[in-house]
Amino acid sequence: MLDDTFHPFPRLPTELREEIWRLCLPHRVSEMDYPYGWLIGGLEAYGKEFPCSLRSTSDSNGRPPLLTRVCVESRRVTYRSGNWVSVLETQSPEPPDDAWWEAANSIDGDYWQDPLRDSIHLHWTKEYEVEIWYPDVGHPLTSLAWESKRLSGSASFMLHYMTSFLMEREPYDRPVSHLLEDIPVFDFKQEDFVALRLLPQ
Amino acid sequence: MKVVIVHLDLARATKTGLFGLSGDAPVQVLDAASPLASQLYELAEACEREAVSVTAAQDFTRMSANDMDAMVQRVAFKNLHNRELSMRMRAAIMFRLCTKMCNHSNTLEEGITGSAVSNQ
Repeated sequence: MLDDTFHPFPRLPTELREEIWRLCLPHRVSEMDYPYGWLIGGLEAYGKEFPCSLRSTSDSNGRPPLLTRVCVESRRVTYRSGNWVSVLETQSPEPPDDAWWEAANSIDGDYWQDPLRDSIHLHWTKEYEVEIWYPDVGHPLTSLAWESKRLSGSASFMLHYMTSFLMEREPYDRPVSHLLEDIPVFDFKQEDFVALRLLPQ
Repeated sequence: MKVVIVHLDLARATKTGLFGLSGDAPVQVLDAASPLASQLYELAEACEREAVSVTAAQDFTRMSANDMDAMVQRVAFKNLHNRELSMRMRAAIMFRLCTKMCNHSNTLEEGITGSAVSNQ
């Protein structure tokens, strides 16, 4: 059997070893909230048993990287680039008031984040409130935009944030009239508009 | 965003290198056009095929990346009435590694019963 162990590793200069550890750190998708069964499956999954409990993946995703448990050196490198985020403590830098958001499915325990490498994701859509009575306070997309600036700059959210999957199946091959551009967006969508502008390109 | 679950044990998932070098990045959000997305799709399908039976099957129907982008941009434009902002949005797929094998059952019978219940 081929032995692919790199034996001279301990003899490399510390800076090189640390750089190798850094290259092994995960680039994660940090979740703002827990996903819920059929709500992320779309219309086809409505009311059906979802193929996964989802929660255990979110929990694993919030744990410290494996490198914290390899050796003292890898642990030191990992703790220099990431940190535990406590849901009970104010983040640093402190988010502005309008970026504060909380929902019944928000991540409720401490979780690991690496500001240089992690991107941010929001599962929440209006269906969480309408279908399963998970209310929210604050504005989710403004919070997403803030979090993306605090982290690596990438952000994602669910398509159903903008359209209810229970109302319509969105076509993709039918053009939408360009005249829509002349119609002002509804007041309640203004906040979404501003928040999306804040997201990095 | 479509969500695809990969039910696989950690050792094998780590070997694929698709969930980080150490298998400790269990949530991946990838551009729909990314070649990695295709690899993860195939992995998810293979894992489901491997099960003796499944209690709730995943729908692996794929839409082309161009069609997904068009759909996302259409929805964004209808909502925001702004072409420039909607064109900035890209379709993505979320892949989640789950080592609990939630929808796998050990016997064919269990799987069939599970499916019947889930379809009611």
